[in-house]
Amino acid sequence: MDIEIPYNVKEREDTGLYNSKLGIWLFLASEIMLFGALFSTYIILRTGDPNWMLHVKEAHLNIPLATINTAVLILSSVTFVMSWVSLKLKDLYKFKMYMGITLLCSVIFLVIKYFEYTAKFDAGHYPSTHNFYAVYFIMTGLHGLHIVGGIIVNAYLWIPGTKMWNSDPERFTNRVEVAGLYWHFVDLVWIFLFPSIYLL
Amino acid sequence: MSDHNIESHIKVYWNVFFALIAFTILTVAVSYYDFGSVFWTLFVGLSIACIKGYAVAGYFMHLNDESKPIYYILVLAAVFLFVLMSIPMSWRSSAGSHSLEYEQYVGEDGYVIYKEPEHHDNGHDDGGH
Repeated sequence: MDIEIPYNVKEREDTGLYNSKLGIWLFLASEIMLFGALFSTYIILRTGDPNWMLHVKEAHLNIPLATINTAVLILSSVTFVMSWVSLKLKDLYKFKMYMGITLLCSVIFLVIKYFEYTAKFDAGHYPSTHNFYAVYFIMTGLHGLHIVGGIIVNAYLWIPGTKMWNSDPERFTNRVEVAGLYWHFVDLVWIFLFPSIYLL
Repeated sequence: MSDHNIESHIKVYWNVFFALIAFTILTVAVSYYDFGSVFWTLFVGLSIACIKGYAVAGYFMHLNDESKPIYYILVLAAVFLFVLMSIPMSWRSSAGSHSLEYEQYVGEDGYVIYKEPEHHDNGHDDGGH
């Protein structure tokens, strides 16, 4: 017996939301708390250590690489929203193109991060070296894990997930929108991480 | 969303993208400028980040025209975030006063060193007599 789950595609009249959209916003609210806890830890450790900025200077963080990474992530956000727009315009080819660019940008972001991390390890800088490195590795590392999670979901939507486009295009478009909300949130976190850790 | 609406949205998305890139360059540029105090450096840098954050949330995440339950969820998250930030911050300000009990030195390498002050017992010696 098939039971149809209501509000998978259409919005509920009282909330104006379909199920997965409400779900992703609740999840993002919990993510705000997760990163909020780490940012408050960062503030406590930074304000409590008069030598903090000396350690930051010694770390020689690669600002040009981090700036390129910021631009790459912003580009991936706009290409993601364009992939969703393409589905609204019923253009699956353009969806695949824009989602492909998004995935490429995410991989470039991780490759740049890999070079950044290996440079730190080669210089003998680990999370245990100083509180600054602990904050740097944990915050950027957790953000990197979110990127990996996003890549897995986006890659699924890019190739095997498109089967749903033939059977239930509206639901597939909603899935892409929900994945996009997660992806933009990951971009949003980086927008605050970049100046907080690298520049200020 | 009608096709005409979508076309106008596409323009907005790309304009937001170029604005975000411009603000990223501005963020890096101002980090090299000496504002004279840590407060103003942080204020300017984080203000630009807030503008960028608003652009992503408002346009890419469509928060500018979302339904009310999402705003309720986010307001609740913001309230809890405020509590989360304020409790350790208040602890920090009270703990900060204890550090005044320590003597502070600046070493030759520029690092600040805290040292527990030596306790003077006014010449009384418990060990004798």
